Amino acid sequence: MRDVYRAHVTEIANLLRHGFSFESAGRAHRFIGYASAFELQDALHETFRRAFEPAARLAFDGIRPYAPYLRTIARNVVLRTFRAGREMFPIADDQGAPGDDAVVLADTQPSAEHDTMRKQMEGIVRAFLDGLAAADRELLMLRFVEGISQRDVADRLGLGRQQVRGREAKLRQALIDHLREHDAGTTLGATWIAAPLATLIAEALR
Amino acid sequence: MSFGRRGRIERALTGRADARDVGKLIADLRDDPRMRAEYDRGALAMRTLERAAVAEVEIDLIERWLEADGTLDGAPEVAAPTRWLWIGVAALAAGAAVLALRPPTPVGEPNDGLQPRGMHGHPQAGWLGVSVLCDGGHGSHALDESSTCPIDASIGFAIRIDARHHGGEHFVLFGVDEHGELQYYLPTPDASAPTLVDRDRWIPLGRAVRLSVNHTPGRVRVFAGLLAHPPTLDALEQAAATLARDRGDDENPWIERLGPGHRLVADCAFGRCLGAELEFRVDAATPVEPPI
Repeated sequence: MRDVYRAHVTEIANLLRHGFSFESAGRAHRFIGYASAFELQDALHETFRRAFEPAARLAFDGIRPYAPYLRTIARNVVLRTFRAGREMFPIADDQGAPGDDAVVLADTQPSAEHDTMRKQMEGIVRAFLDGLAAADRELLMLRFVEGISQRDVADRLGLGRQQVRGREAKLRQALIDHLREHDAGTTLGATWIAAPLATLIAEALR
Repeated sequence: MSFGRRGRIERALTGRADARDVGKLIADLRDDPRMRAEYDRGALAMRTLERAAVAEVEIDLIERWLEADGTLDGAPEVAAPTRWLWIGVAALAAGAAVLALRPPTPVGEPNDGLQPRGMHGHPQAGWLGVSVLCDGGHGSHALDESSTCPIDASIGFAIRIDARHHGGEHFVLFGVDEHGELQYYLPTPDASAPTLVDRDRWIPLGRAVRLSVNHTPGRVRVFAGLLAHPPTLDALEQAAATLARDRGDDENPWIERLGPGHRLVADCAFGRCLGAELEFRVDAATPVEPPI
């Protein structure tokens, strides 16, 4: 199951991050995705927890594509989240036909709100990167710009994988420290990121 | 924000969180909007650093979460016992005792000396471990059914809660001797029981009980629980009276043996509470060595 999780988690995470469109009662709606990392993780965890339940595993025949099945579960997890307050979205059966995800249309473009948050954070991260030593910047470039795995970065730099992992953890910690220093002089961090989920849900009538 | 909470956030965002961190982190994030905001902001920084919609550390954290709740197998096992860990002095009015704690054996392992009676095969077997340490002034040892502690010694306690437990947090610990007498450990008429939130590590309870004060030689059954509500002394006394009549041939956990109507275990259905028990024997006083 761990391999299944690793194989599909990025796709489902992107779905929950960027949102999806769906139809209900003949109307088109759009969930624009979770801005809150914790809410996204909560939904992502719940998706895989449900998918890996014994009953769900038995219900899946192993022949039909698994990814659409997971997307349907993820969609239902999202809709259940705010269904309690808004009895307006019908929920498909998790055990229903896998692959029947015609109403789930993943959007690949981030919303305007997400884009704004991202740009604000980019400035902070850019300043952090500018202050790093060349060796640290190289490691991060290899890892996150070129998208190379820790193992391959280790080979390229002549380091052990644990060394790369350790250096990366230290750099992440340094970024957290930099972020805290930045936020110490502003209330920004505690305000816009804590926007309630309700404000992140948008609907567009077709 | 407390140092512990900040530390858990940092470990999660730097990819150093393990399954032990997850339960507490998730509970904190659900309950504390300020902590959630800080966590969310840090996660956004990691996403920006990685130029990814969702950061690798988030993916790793959810994997740890799925391990912690038992969805994924292969959660990192707790280190097997390799040595005794001395933990210092715990004091009570009666005196002080130096306690030695045995590191935990893997969760749920059969025949574990700390495995409470009635939990073998139970889905929450091993989720609550209790260890009673006997200190007679010449070293300490963990007590089990086959061991004894002299009446002139002191006992101390340690407990361990599995990270998969997300239910009741109110701790209770008491004993019932073979005469049916209740032995208050926590809470007592003078001390309230702690709320325990740490997971997957042995937690020494800052108490030592000198056996000569209230105990008598003979068998003592020790009951530990994590309950949905703070235990009251009245409910504790009723529970002890019920358990004193229990002949011990029922293989269910003591929380279930009390039954759903008992005040001490109110709202404990659906695995919300945990129970553990063990027993040991109090011996007569240690013979005094004749002077050489």
